Parts: sequence; structure tokens; C-alpha cells
Amino acid sequence: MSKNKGYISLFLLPTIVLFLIVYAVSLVVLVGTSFTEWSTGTKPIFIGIENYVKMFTDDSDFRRSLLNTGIWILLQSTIHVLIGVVFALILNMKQFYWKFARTVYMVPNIISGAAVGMLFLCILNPEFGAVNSIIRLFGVSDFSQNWFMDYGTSFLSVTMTWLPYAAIVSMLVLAEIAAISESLFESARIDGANEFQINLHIIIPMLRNIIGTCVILAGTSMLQKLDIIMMTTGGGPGNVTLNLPMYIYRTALMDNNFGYSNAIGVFLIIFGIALVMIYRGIFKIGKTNE
Amino acid sequence: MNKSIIKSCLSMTMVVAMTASLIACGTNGTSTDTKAADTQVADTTKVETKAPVKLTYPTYRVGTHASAAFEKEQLAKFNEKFGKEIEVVVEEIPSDTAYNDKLKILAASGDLPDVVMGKNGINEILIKGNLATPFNEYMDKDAEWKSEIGDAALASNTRDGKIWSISDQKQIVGYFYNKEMFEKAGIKPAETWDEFMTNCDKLKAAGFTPLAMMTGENAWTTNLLLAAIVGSSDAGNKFMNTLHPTSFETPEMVAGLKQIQVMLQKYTTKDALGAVYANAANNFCQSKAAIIANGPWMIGDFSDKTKSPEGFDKKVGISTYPGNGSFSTYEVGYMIGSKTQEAKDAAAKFIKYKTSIEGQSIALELGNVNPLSDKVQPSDAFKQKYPLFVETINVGNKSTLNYQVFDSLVFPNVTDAWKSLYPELAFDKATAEEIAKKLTDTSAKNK
Amino acid sequence: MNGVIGLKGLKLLVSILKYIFLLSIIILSIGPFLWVFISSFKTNSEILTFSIGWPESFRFSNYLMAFKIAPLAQFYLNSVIVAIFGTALNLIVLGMSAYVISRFDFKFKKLLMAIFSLSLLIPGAAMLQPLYMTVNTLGLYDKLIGLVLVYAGFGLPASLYILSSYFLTIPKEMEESANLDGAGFIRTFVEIILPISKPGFGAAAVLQFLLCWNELQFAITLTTGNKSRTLPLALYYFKSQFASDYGVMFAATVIVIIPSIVVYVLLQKQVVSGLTAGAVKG
Repeated sequence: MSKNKGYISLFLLPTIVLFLIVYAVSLVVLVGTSFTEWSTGTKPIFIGIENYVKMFTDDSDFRRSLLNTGIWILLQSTIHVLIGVVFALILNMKQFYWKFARTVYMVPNIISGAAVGMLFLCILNPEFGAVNSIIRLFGVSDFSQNWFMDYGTSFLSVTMTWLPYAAIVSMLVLAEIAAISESLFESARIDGANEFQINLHIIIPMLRNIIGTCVILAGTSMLQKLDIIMMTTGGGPGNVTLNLPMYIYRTALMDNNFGYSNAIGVFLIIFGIALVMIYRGIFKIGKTNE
Repeated sequence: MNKSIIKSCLSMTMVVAMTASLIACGTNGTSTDTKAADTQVADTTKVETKAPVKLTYPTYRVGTHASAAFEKEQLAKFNEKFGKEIEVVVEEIPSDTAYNDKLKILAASGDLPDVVMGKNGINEILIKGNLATPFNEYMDKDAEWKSEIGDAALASNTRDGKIWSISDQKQIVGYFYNKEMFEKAGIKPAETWDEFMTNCDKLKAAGFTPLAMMTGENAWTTNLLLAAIVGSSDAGNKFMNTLHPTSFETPEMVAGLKQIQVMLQKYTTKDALGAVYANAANNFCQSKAAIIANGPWMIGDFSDKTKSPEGFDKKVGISTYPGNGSFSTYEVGYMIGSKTQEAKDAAAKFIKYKTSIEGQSIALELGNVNPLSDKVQPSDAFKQKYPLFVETINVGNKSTLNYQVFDSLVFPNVTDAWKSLYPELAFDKATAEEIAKKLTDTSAKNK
Repeated sequence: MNGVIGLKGLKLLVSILKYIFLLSIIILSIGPFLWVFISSFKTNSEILTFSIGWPESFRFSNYLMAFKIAPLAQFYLNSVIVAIFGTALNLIVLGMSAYVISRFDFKFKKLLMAIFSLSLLIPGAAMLQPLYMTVNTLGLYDKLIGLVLVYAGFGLPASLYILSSYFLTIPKEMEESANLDGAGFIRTFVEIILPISKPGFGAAAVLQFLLCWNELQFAITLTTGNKSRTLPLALYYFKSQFASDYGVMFAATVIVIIPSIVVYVLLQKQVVSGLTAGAVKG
């Protein structure tokens, strides 16, 4: 098989080039400047690991955003993926509504994060938003819960805005199910299995890889998502809905503290690597389905 | 064969990475002359003396921005007069936040555009890194321009003797109130802050929500109230006129925050927490709140039928704040970011037009903006259309107490922090003292 | 008899739960959009007072205003170009490496995979300035092709994972039988593997397309003129610091959203035809 190695390198080359162009410089700058004191318009000054020390000892916002990010990663990679898979399995039965449902569910993902944020901001507005108006219709007059800003409901409201992401999971799972050979289903049905059993014993095990992929994608997406938070709560009230990407953005472009924000960025990457490795271990991704 | 391919890939990788980081380090900071000169030459397509000088000018005054109309007119008129010598390449950035972000990126990369709007802390960055060109030379050579701006405006943007930016507007801000609601509640604009609070009680008793406040974005209308409260005492007034305060933990600030706390809890609309400007403005224009602290650019909205009901403009009055105070500040204005002398001169010419008598008139007529110079007077047609504007000028003239808005005094990250802090205050999760301390801490984080 | 009723009852319960689940998801997904759509025909005061009613009359003035304020047509065109090429580039490049990574073993494979995974984790804000400098140095600033390149890169991890995961489901026998038939490496890839991977490519294509279509931050940073600006920026024309016209804002939101939905529906048809035609294996 040695003759393949040439082709292997050839096939890998474009991706490597793309990676270098888009990411390599950023990585180098990121890691390099994380050890410096650098703000807009000045030159970086080397200060060793001071930034890292500060992160862990002196920054309550960092700790809170780490906590929030952790919780959201957990929620997103379990509950949302679960919802997505269940939805896909239901749709797989291809009942009359399935194409419509599949399209509709993806709608919030098609529009940009900024638009979604604006939508949620409007419907959850305490005074004239649709949600409160409907609740008022049901007789609770004067209902004006401030969903995004009230301490009790803020975290939950933001978590809800990510629910539509599960549609992507559904889409990926459906694509993978389509790959499962029909003959497998045929023989199972001949053996007398019903839908539920088919789902449980045939489909789900074959989805191990894609579910694992979805968990990774969903979890790590929480390390990047900030557009909705930025549009709705801005991390508030206080730092209740602050997550790491938002905190990095804020430190870089509000505090003008590029050095420190890059240090947090490096931490984020290490955190993410650990996360991905854990997930890969759990799902044993990378081994073919035999 | 295979091993060598991989080896060459790896070495190529390293070479690319090293060159890239060299370029990265090389263009950081201020040593950008050669690279910038290259881009300048690349911009001016042909190197002939007859081709117009190109100026890059990003602006956020587009779309539905209150200043979009006058920006467009100024650009059109400038092109008419000087289009052959100077070509202004406009970059539309329709969001203030996006404008700030992009300019910071450009500043950090040494690629500033020719004409920069210095508000929201951009001027601080440019001053600190010595990235802009002061106007002293131009002012010395052009007495006419200097007089059109006025010494006061120039002084407000001078640091260490260098004039870093040319202001383009004077902000005179009082507060607007709904005259009908005031009548029904039997009150008149308050002269002391205690009276202001009892007025709010009477408005509430009459069934009206007193204040249109907001805590989202930069908490604009709320902060105007806070600043006015703090600025009404002697020590507080000094505070509200000092740039970059290091500590917010003064008795005046704490007292002011306590008052705001009461207002947020008792006297405002239910969506004030988290509200953006659009919410507060609509609440006032749709007669859902009786008072809004805001500037004269809003006057146009009162007669705009898509924003306010017919005849609303007749119901609006303007008043000074208790203690006979108002905001009287000069906007930061424009700065020169160019690198070559030719571009600098062209940029200065462009800025001169925008801030000249003619430029100021356009801004006044189309944007309800207070001009810098007394020589610019509103036309009669304008006065008829916007009598409220004339009242604004009166407010500015008759007020005895002056202070500045928070956004001009504090660091940008503090401006960004109000939206997280006000809910804490309103929900009693933090006391006024604690909020003051957090403001101080945030300010210290700024680099 | 009890057992049969019990089973039927259980089935009914499951059915009901299933429908409730479906319905709530659908409402959550399309409800907000519908509300904004209906509200875009109202005036500001109507929106504030009768938020869930039908508008008094269907006014199109909001839409007219929206078109006047922002250069939407140009932005549409740019978005289409960037999205199509960005997706194509990404799929070609990643298709090749995902294939090789998932089906062959070679030295440095784990290392390479780990390095590529890094791209999933780098925070966007940290990349703004380095990427600006890279693009500028390459002379791609303010060019659509710069965006195409950057977006193809942004989609690297997602496409890599999705395509790898999909390729892993193809039985090894495929290549072996192709080899026996005398097909070379490239031929095997193009004529055997690719046709049966359509669903995987379809899924990756949808995600990549959406990424290109909706990306905002880098679009602003890496371009400067309206001739290379894309659609998400259009919304910002209606949301500046002192803007307060909800009706026009909603109309703009609808204008920006509807084509996305239309394009997606059309794209879905391609994916669906791929699903049914190409899924016949083994």
C-alpha cells in the first residue's frame, strides 16, 4: 500500500494549506501575546505568566463565565443532542408531515445569530412581547416578567435561545440514517421487530459516530457562541449570563486588553482540547462500524 | 518518496508560519511607515499629480442613524466643491459598535483610515499610541477655520497643548416631557431633585409612568439622569467635568445611584431593564412615559408620523434639570489618521469643510445638531418646523450649571458595564456603594 | 383482554407525547418569525399596544423604507457568490482529507487530526486582528475571494468531522472490490466513494452554506466597500444607536430572512434527491 502514501499526502495538502492560512498566524499571535501586556496602539511587553496567574486568582468574572460555559456545554451536548436525535428518529418514520417539520425546525438556524437575538429580544419584551401578551390573554393581567433581565429567569431564557440548534443534530442524524442499508431494516422486520425495537437495536448503535460528532460539535459550539448573548443580555444581569467567548470579546474590544484576552483564549483552547478528547474517548470515534 | 513529501510539507509549514509571524510582529504598533506608504500608493491608482487624492472615511452615520441625512448632504456638497482634488472613499459601517471594533482592529494593525471619528474612546487609543496628527499646525495657519470652531470647542479636545480632534457638534441636553401628562398630574418641571421625585409620585397617582429609562446598550437615558443628579452639587459638578475619574466611590455618586435605584424600581416602565434606545424612545413617543432625558436630535421624531402620533410634537416641552442644569459638551469630532503629508492635508481640508459654517448649517438643518459657532443660526423655516429646537437653545443659555455626559468621561469598558450593573442595583442584588466600587474596578481594568 | 388494552393505551400515550413534542418544537421554531412577520405590517404604536393582534391594515411602507435605507440587492448578490464558492471550496478540500483520514492509517495521523481540531476551539474575537493582517498581506482585503477563503477555513472542523464520520460508515469492502477491479486511488475515490457519500456531503454543505450566509463579524472587518459586503450587515442599518422604528426593523429582518429560507428549501431538495438516490449500497 505504499503507493497510496503519495496520494494521501496529496489529499491532505489543500487542507493543511487552508489551515495554515486561516489559523496558523492566529495561533502563533494568540499564544505569543498571551505572555505579554498588549493593548491597542501599543507594543507588546513581555510579562511572563502574569496574565494566567491573574485569571485564576483575581478575576471573579472569569470564574463565573467559566462556570456558565461549563454548564452550557453540558446542557448543549446532552439535552440538545438528545432532543435532536429523538426528533430525527420520529421524522424517520416519514409520516406525512415530515418534510415540513424538518424544514420548519431548521428555520432559526438559517437566519443569522444577530437576527435570532433580535427576534427573541422582541418576543420576550416585558411590555409588548408576544410571550407576555399571550400569558396576559390567559387572564394573568399585568404580567410583565422581564425574562432576560430578571435574575431568576435570565439564565434559563438564554439557554432556551439555543434550543433550535438541535435541528442541526437532527439533520446530521437523518443523513446518517439514510446511509444505513435498507436490507438491514428488511431483515429486521421479517424477524418481527416493531419500530421501537428497530430504533433501539439497529439504528442507534449505528449512529454512534455521528452522535459523538454532534456531541463534540454541540459542546464546542458553546466555546464560540456569543452573538445571541451579545444581542440580548450582554452577559448580564451582573455576570449571570456571561460565557467565556463573550468575556474574551469584552476584554479584547472593551477593556482594550489584548494580552489578557489572548491568555484567556489560550486557556479556552486547552479546555476545548480536553473536552474533545474526553468526548472522543466516550464515543470511541474513529473506528469504523463493523 | 513519501517521507520526503511529508518532510517538505513540514518545512514549508514552518517557513510559512515564521514569515507570517514576522509580518505580524513587524506591523504591530507604530512602525508602519513603509507598509502604510505602500497601501497609500496602491490606493492612489496612478502616481500622477492630477489624480485626486483618495481619502478613506468609514462612517456609522448611515441607515436609520439620526445623523445619516446630514452626513449624506455634507458629502454631496463636498464632492461638488472639491471632488476633483479629493476623492472621499466612504465605508458604511451601520453600527456604532461595529465601527468601534473595526477601528480598534485597524489601529492595532497600523492601518488607520484617513478620517476617524474619535468618539467612544477611539480618540484615547489614538492619542495614547500617537497615531493621529494634531491640528495645531492647521489652526495656526487658518484663522478663519479656527474662529468657526471657537476656542472653547478646541480647548475641550486639547491635551498637553496638542489639538487632537476637531469637534463637530455641541451637545445641549435637557429633558423632554409630555406637557399634557404634566397638566393632568398638576405639576410643572421640578426645580429641585426632591421635587422631581415627588413629581414622579404625582404622575404615578394620575395613572402615568413617569420615566422612560433604559439599561441596555449604553444606558443612555438613565445615565443622563444620573449625571444630572451627581452634577448638581459642587463636588459632584467637578466630578462630572473631569476626564477619566479613577474612583467612583464618592458620596455624590453613591447618593445618585441610590436615587436611580428608586427610579428603576418605582418610576419607570416594566421593560426598562434590558431596554435599548428604541424601547425608551418609543415609550415616550407613544405616550407611555412622561419624561425622557435625551438630546435635540430626537426632536425630529416628534413630528415623524411613523414614530409618533399626529400632533405629538405640540405636546412636548423641554426643561433644564433640577438645579437649573444642562449638559453642555463638545463632541470629540474628527481626527486625522493619515500617514503621508498629502493625505493629511486632504483630510484636514475635508474635516474643515464638515466643521465650517456651511457644514455646521447642514448638520443643524438636517440633523437638529447644535452648531459650534454662534454665527450659525437656524433658518426661519427651521424655527417654524421645530420650535422645540429654539427652546433647546434657550435651555442651554439659561442654565447655570453645566456638566458632561458619562460616555465622554469614562473609559469604554465602563460604558459597556452599566448594562450589567443596573439590573443588580434594581433587583437589590448590590447596594449603591457596591456598584460604585464595581465601576471603579472596571475602570481600573482598562488598558 | 387487559394486556391488549394496556398496550394500546401505552401506544396512544406515546403517540400523544410524540405529537406534543413535535408541536412545541415547531411553535418554538417558527413562532417568533411569524410574529415578527405579522408585526412588520404594523405601525410602531400598533406594535406597542396590540402586539398579538392582526394589523389594522397591511402597510407596505415599512418594506419600502427598508429597501431605501440599505443597499440590499448588492448585498444579496455578494452573499450568494461568497456562499456558493465558500461551500464548494470547503467541500472539495475537506472531502479529500476527510476521506484519507477516516479510511487510511498513516504516520502523524493522530497529530494531524489534533491540530485540525484546534480550529474548532480558537475564539473568534482572538482571530479578528491576526486574520485581518493575514488577509491584508495576501492582498485579499476587501475582496469577495478573501471572504471565500476565510469562510472555507472556518468550516474546516465541522466539515472534517461530519465527512469523516460519514465516510466511516462505508464498509471497507468498497475499496477492496474496486482495487480488484483495477481502479487506482483517485478513480476509486471519485467513481465509487463519492456517489454514495452524497448525504454526508449534503449535510456538510448545508452547514457550510449557512456559515457563509450568516457570518457578520469578519465580513465587516475584512471588507470595506459596499461592493463586497454581505447580507447580515443589512440588519445593522436598522439598528443604530438612536434608531427607534420597530416596524422598519421588523420589515428588514423579514427581508433578510426570507431568501435564506427559500434557498435552504431549494438546497434541501438537492439533499433529499441525494438521500434517496445515493443511499443504495451493499
